[in-house]
Amino acid sequence: MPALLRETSETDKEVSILEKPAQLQAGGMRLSEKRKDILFLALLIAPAIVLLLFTIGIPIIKSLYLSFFDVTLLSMKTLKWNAFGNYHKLFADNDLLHSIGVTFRYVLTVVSLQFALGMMLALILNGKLPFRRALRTVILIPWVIPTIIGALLWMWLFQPQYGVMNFILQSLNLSDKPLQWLSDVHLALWAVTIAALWKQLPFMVTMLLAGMQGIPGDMYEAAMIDGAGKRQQFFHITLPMLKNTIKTVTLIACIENFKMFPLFWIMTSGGPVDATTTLSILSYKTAFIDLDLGKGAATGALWLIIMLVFSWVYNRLFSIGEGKGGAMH
Amino acid sequence: MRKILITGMAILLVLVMLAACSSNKDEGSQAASPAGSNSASPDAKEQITLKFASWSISEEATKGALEEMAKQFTELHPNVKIEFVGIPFGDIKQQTFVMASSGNAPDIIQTFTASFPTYAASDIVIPLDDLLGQDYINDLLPSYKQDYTYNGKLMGVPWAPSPYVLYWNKELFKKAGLPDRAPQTYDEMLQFAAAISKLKTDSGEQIYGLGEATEKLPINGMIALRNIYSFNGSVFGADGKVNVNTPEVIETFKYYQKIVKDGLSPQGAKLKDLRNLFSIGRLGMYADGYYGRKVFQNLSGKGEAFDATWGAALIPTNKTNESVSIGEAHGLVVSKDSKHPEMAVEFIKFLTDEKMISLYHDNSDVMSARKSIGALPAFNASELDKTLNAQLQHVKPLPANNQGLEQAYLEIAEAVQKVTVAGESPENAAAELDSKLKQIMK
Repeated sequence: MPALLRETSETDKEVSILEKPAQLQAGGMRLSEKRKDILFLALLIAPAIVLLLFTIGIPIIKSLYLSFFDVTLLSMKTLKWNAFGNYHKLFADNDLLHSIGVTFRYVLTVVSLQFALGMMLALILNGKLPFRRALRTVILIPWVIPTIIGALLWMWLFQPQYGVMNFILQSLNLSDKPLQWLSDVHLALWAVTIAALWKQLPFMVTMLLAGMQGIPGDMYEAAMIDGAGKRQQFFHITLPMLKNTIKTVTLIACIENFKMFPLFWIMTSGGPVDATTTLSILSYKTAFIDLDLGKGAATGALWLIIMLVFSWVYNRLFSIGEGKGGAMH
Repeated sequence: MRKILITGMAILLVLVMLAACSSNKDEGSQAASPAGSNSASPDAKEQITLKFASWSISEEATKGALEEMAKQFTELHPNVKIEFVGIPFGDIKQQTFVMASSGNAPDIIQTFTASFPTYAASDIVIPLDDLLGQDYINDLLPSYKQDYTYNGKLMGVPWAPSPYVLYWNKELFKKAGLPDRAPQTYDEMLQFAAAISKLKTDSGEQIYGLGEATEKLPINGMIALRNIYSFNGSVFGADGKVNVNTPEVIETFKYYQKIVKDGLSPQGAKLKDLRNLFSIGRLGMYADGYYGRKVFQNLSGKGEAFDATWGAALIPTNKTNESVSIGEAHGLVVSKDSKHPEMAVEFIKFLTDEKMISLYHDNSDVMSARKSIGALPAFNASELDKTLNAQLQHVKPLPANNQGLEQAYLEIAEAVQKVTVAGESPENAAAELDSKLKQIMK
C-alpha cells in the first residue's frame, strides 16, 4: 500500500475510534462521518435550494398547472379545467408551429453569425495588434448597454423615413428607395438579427479570447517547428483546444436567443404579420395581450420542453468522439 | 455538528417568524382600514387614499394639469389623498390586470376606447350608473355613452374625448400648387396626396401625401373602422351578425393597399410616426385626435409658431356623402377592489366638471363628452375647437362592447397590414378577417 493511502486509512481508523464514544453518547444515534458531511452540506445548500424552489420551481409548476385550465386575467376568480384544451388550441391555429420556425431560424442565424464573427475578432485581438488592450475594452461597449436601450437605438437607425441606415444606403447608391427594415416581412427578422448580433458579439469574442489565451504558447511553437502553417495551427490546435469553451459559449448564446424578448418586443412587437413572432413573443402576447393565461402557460410549457430537448441534443452532439467514459456511455 | 444543527434550526425559526410577522402586518394594515369601507360615503371624514393609475401623469405635456386637478380636489376634500400610479400607455392594461389578479388594483384606472372593451367585459371593474346618477349619464354625448356601455350598463366614463379630424399641411399644399383648403372628398384627398407625394425635401427625402396608421395595434384597427364606415361598410351585416366579407370592406382594403403601393402613405406606420412626419414637414395629411396641436408644437421644435403651418378639417366625405369619423376617448374606470367607489366616482365627476375640463382644455385642447360643457364658448374658441366640435356631430359609434372587441380591432389591423405589407389580396384578407371575427365576437 502506498505511504499516502496507508496514512489516510490509519487516520480514518483513529478518527473512528475517537468518535465511537461520542456516537454512543448521542443517545444511540449512529451517524457516520460521511452522513455528517452530507447533512452539513445539505444544511449549507438548503437556503439556495429553497430560494431556487420559490423563484424558479414554483413558477414552473404553477405555469404547468395553469396550462390545463381555462384561466384569463379577465376573470381570475374562476379556474376551469379544460384538460389539453389550451394545447389543442395552440396546435389548431398554427401559430405555435410558425413561431417555432421563426425562433429556430433566428437562433441558428444569429448564433452561427455570432460564432463566425466572434472567432474572427477573437483571433485578431489575440494577435499582436497595436492598441489591442484598448480595442478589447471598446468592443465591450454594446454588451454593457442595456438591451432595451440597444433596441430603441436600432429602431431609430432602421427608421425608414429618417433613419441612418437608409440614409447611408441611399447616399452610397446601394438602394434607390428607403428600405422598410422593420415593416417588411422579409427584412424584419434580419433587422432584429443585426441588432442582436451587435449586442451579443462582445460576449462571444470575450469568451473565445479568454479560451485562446489559455492555450499554451509552446504548442504553437512546437507546431511551427514541425512546419505547421497558420491554417493548420488553427484547425489542429486552436479549435480542438477551444472545444469546451465553444460548447459552453454557443449553448449560452442559443439559450439567450431562444428566450430573447426585449429586442423583438421593442423593435417589431412580433410583426409585421407575425414575421418576427418567436415563442417568447407568442407566449407574452397570448398571456398578457390576449390575457389568456392558460394558453400562454401552455405555450411556455412547450417552449420549456423544446429548450430541454434542444440542450440535450446539443450536449449529445458535442459529446461525440469524447472517448471512453464520455457522456455517450 | 449539533451546534451547526441548532444554529440552522434557529435561523429557520427566525425566518419563519419574520415571514409570519410580515403576513400579520399585511393583515393588520387591512384590518386598520375602515370596517365595511364599501359603504364609505364621500362625506365621511375618514382618511381616504385613492390610487389612480394613469399614463397622462407620466407625460410631460399633461402631468402639470393632472397634478393641479388632484390638488384642487384635495382642497375640497381634505381627508382624501390622490396617489398617482404612473404606468406607460402601452403597459397600463397588462399591469392593471395583473395588479387586479392579486387584489391590488388601483381605485381608478385610465384607459382608452380601443382597450376599454376588455375592461368592460372583465370582472375587475364596476358599473357606474347608480354612482354617477342619471342626470350625469344623460348629459353624455350618445356615441360616447354607447362606446362606454357594456350589457346596458355604463362601465366607464369618457374623460378626454376626441373625434378624428383631418390635419393638413398648408405649406406643402402651396408647394404642390394645391388650393388653400382641405380636400372635401376621398377622391380629392387621393388627388391631393398624389400631388404632394411628388415633392421632395430640400435634402431630397421623400414627402408623403397622406398618412394612414397600418402597424398591428388595436388602436389602428379601431381607426380603420373610420375608413370602413366612410366606405359605407360595417363590421355587422343587415342581420346584425358579424360580416366583413363585403364589397365595402374589400374596397377599404383596396384603398389602404393603393395608398401604400403608390407611395402616398408610409408603410407600416404607427400614429406616432405620422405625427413625427407631419411635424417635420414630410407628410401632407393624416387623421388624428385633439392631441395634434401640442404634439406638433413639441415635435417641430417651433412651438406655437408651427400652428400657422397646418389646418384641421372635417374628414372628407366618401361613399356615405357625409363626413364620417369615430370618437376616441381617454376613459376612466373604477376597480371592483376599490374600498371607496363613491369617492372614486366623486373624483371622476370632479375631473369631468366644467372647471377641470376647461383647465385640461386650456392645457391640451381636450374636449368634453358632456353636452352641456362642449357647447360652452370656451370649447368653441379656436378653429381647432370648432372643427373638433363639428366633427363630434359626425361621429359613428363603434361596435357594441364585447369581450373580443379589442382582439377584433387587432385582427382588423392585421388584415390592413396583410394588404399593405405582405401584398395579400383585399378579397382574401376580408375573407380571413371575416372568419376570425366570427370566432372572436361570438
